Amino acid sequence: MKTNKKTIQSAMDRRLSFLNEQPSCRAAVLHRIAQEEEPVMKKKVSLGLVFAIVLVLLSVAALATTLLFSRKAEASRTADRAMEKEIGIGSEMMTFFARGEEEQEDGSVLVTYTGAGSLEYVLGTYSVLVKDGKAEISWNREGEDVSGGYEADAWGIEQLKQMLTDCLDEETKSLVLAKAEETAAKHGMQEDDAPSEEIEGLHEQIEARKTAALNARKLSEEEMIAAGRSFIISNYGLNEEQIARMELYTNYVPEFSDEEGVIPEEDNGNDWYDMINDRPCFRVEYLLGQPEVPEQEGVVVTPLPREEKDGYYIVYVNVETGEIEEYEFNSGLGGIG
Amino acid sequence: MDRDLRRVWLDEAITRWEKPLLRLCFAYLGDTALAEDAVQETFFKAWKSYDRFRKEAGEKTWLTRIAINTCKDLMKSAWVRNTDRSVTPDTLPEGSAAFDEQDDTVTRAVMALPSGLKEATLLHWYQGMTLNEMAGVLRLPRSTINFRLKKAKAILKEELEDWYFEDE
Repeated sequence: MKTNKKTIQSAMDRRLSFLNEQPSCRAAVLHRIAQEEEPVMKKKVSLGLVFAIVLVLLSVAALATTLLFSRKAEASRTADRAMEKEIGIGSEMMTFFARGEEEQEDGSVLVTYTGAGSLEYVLGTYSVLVKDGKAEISWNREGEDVSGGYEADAWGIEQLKQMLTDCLDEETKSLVLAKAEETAAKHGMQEDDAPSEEIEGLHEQIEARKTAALNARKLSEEEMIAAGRSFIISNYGLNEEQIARMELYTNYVPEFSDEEGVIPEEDNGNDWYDMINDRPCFRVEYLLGQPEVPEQEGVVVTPLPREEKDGYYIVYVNVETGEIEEYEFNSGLGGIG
Repeated sequence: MDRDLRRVWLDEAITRWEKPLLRLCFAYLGDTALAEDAVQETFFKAWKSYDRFRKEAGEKTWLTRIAINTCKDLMKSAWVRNTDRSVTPDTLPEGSAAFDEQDDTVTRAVMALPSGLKEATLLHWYQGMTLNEMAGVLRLPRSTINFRLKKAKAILKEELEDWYFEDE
């Protein structure tokens, strides 16, 4: 049998040729952006924009591998634990936040958790100052009335608990996010409007960044994958059953790459590399998902429900030192994508 | 990411991705106006959440994921749910480029696939995405994607045997 990416592609392109770029699309998007930017009240907290970092190596024995952490990653772990212990916001709920870290002059690290995307206003920002291994938490919405469910202007732990359930369903999730946007709009929000230099050739710059990270590599990819995997297992406390379900996405090679009609992976060699906080890193990515339900003739198959800790785990490992520079867990419950 | 930089990025992204996303959304939704809405919504959401892009595998993967999720949201809306979305030749407007009956047959066969299989087919054989990229877009295990592609291929082979599937 001759399979045919090109025939499907060209047949559909010819048939759908009535659909082309329309000036109205660009105009409509820009109009919506302008509306979004109109109210002036709150300045968005800028995250993850700190570059100059003093390198401190800390080692922690985890499983069979000795894990090393950058100072910021270590502070993030301390802050994560404090958020869970003192506020009740664990890794699942943290999916609704964007985390940022900033080193302070006195050697402490300020870790911030800001509501992601449209949740920024209602969830606010938790700031955790980490110094000498101790964490001090504050919330910029502290003292506000959080009662009334999603009707409240500020959403606390009760709403977050509810969101864990509501956001399992895409339709309900969109309603929750819409409510958050509505509340934010009611109070007006404005993006940071500081002028900036125009960047030309953004794609080329990203490519150059990735290549620079690749060229700095001193460790093997196997070593870095092992470090990332060990970190995920230990940091998120995965059990044996969950470990067995972990699927590596980094450097994946398709099982049936020889089959006709399957497009080969493009290999630029630098796909999984990037500069993170100005440091060359390799991205280790694992999925913890549910096994597929076998299809049966005439029966609508329902996928297995999501379980706690299911989601995407991303760990950036320094290609020179093996340190964990940054990590993230995305349960898929919140935000875009 | 500040506003000016995001604007520059958005401008480039619309130029580069509007057409492929529009056709993808149409194939998914079967409605021109809905597809246009979906694409606008996609770029707007992307602009709002550009900060997350840094951690994504690629711009195409990221935008496609937003577009697919947007289409899914639209499909769940009451109006769409209560509308017959089956594809017939007269529901497809005339193309601006020349096309023949075969093109029509292929397009309708793909659009008529069950949603999961259609999704996989559109991303792989129409958008030219690799399995890794599809995994990133659909957030599904690759084994599931493999299965769907094989299943879709079997259905399309049967439907399109007279047109494109030939024994070598």
